[in-house]
Amino acid sequence: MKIKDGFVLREVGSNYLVIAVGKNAKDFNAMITLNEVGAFLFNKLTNEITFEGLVDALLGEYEVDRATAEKDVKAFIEKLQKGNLFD
Amino acid sequence: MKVKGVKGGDMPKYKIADVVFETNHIFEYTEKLCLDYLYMGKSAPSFCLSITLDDVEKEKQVYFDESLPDCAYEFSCLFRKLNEQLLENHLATVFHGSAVEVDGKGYIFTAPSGTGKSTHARLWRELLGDKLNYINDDKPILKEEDGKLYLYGSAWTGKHNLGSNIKVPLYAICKLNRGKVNKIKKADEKVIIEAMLNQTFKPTTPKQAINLMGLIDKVVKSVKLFELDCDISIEAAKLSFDTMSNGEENED
Repeated sequence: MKIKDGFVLREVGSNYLVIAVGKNAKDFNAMITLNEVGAFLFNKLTNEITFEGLVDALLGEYEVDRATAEKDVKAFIEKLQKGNLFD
Repeated sequence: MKVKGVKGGDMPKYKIADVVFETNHIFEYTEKLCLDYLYMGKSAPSFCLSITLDDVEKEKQVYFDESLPDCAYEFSCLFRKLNEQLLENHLATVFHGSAVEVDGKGYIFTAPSGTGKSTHARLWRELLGDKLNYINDDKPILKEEDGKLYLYGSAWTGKHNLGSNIKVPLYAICKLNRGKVNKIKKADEKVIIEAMLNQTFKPTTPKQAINLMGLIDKVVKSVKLFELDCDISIEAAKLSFDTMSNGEENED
């Protein structure tokens, strides 16, 4: 899976913010805020990556057990799916 | 095609938010409204705002619920194009709000249209008299220069035509809500972030998006943030001015 082009992430205040540009902006009015882990996963998802790939990346970067990482990645993907961020 | 009210002569240069640019606008109306920003100096323009009758027609689609003369659509189209240039290359954005200056400090009230930004600014004016200067009652420009934020006047001064060609350091921003009880508190940064996203143009390129979020980041990190519930009374203005000018917050 991969996040559509035209979604831009940046640190804003104490969190990270995602906003849409171009044609995506028309059907994307919600603002998405992410924490540091969310921003890490978002950046991984700007290139094609599998669910397992994301979990491994998370395990490589943060001290967390596999079960928690899988749960977090699943929740994160659902959040982005709700926002219609995937191709 | 001959168009009524069409200007003649060379392409004029303007300076807004300390950025020199030229336009090839069609209507004299634009020239009249931009008069305070006409630039006669020697600096080369950073860009040209190019506009065609086709752009004017497209602008009508954006504001399809209003029926205005073509020159008004040109003026709003120019504004949109100016915003894109400022955001792309000059760390500046148009910001929908009422901006005023008191004692050298810049204040901006922001909220959706119809909430009462201009009304509240007018109450400040009643309270403070000539101590208050309007930067722009509707669409000032927010700009970062050398790591500091400034509010600039623009030619788009809103329906009360209040504003001037000045530059003032931004001191405080206030999200305004209409309420029955007057109450001011330190704003949660998310409230300000959301308000700023709603009251600025949507970026059209990734670079504009990064710059807009950079400006918002700078605001929430370096400026005093307030949220005000207010009615239309001089007491409301007194409460907000006393609190905001001191930079103190009455936390519940």
